[in-house]
Amino acid sequence: MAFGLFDELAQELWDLERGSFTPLVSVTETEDRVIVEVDLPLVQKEDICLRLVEEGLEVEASLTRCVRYARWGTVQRSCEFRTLYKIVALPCPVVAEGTTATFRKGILRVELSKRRDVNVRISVT
Amino acid sequence: MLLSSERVAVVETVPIEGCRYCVVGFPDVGLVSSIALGHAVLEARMVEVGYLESDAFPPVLVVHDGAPKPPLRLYRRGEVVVVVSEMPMDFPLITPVTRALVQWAATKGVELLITMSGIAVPNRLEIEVPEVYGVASGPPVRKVMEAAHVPALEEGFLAGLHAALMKEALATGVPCLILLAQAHLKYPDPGAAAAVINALNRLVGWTVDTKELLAHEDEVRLRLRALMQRTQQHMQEVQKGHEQEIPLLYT
Repeated sequence: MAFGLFDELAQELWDLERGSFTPLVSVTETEDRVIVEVDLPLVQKEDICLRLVEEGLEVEASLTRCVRYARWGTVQRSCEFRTLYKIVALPCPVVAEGTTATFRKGILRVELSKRRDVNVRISVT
Repeated sequence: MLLSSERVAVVETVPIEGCRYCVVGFPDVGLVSSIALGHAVLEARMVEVGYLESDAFPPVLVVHDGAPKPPLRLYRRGEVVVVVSEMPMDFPLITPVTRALVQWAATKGVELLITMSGIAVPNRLEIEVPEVYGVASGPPVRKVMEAAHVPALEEGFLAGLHAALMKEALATGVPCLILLAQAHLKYPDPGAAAAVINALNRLVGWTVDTKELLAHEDEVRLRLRALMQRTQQHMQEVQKGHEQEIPLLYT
């Protein structure tokens, strides 16, 4: 669902077809790791599904209960939202091995190792 | 491009007299002030008494209960007037808005202007109950702050509407206090908002209960994703990064 007309900020924060909300995400990098934080309110650890896909890190988490804002907008008011869903674009290629994921106080933290295909030392003269 | 002389009007829909405290909160770090004041307005059943308007504001209205309303509104209960905004403030509007508010507070004889925000801490998950710090405009306000058991922020930078409001208050001579709760930078933080409400209760003699707010923390975090995301861009514009730095003339 991409509205196109609206600014990036307003786009894709909810998806009627999926019945999902888009969570807030923060991506940072260290020298050899990519760290993804996802704010997942109303979610239990067991209901979080994480996958590394071609487009990035796919996060899907079912809410502990359906949420419906019955007085909001027009079409939105009839939607039962059941999940938080996002594919988080990653800043560089990563490998699946060595990935850690922790869930604490409603915030998911995923640490991924950067892919190192090439490691050739270059000497400076 | 809005110049600082551009008019921002504080419009009273109900005449306001006898206002001792004016509490101002705009979307910022962790949406602390927005969550705190939004909760206080509903919990204390505050009455809508006015709004801010300017030709320079974007053409945005909010609809509540089917009624159209300006996004920046004043609410009142007893001696306290609260200013809340449902949108973050665009950078060029910050000075005119804060100037208009401080001038209004001065004409109303407000004894203490209080503003609040979060202060971003990287280890927020390790903090069970966020601390609230204060920045006072002068010794008399510092005494009030200490009597309310709010420790002083001694050295650092502040960036945002709360900093602009203090600048205007210092220039105009209106006593002003900034409350800062340790908070998540980029996620709505009802825990930090509850901490600020507790400090505010001690300062203005309120008894706003935070139990319901904390019981529905997750719902608040879910509902305010868009506002938090929109606020992030504004935080960059006001150079929020300064708040993580040590000042040059640190003693």
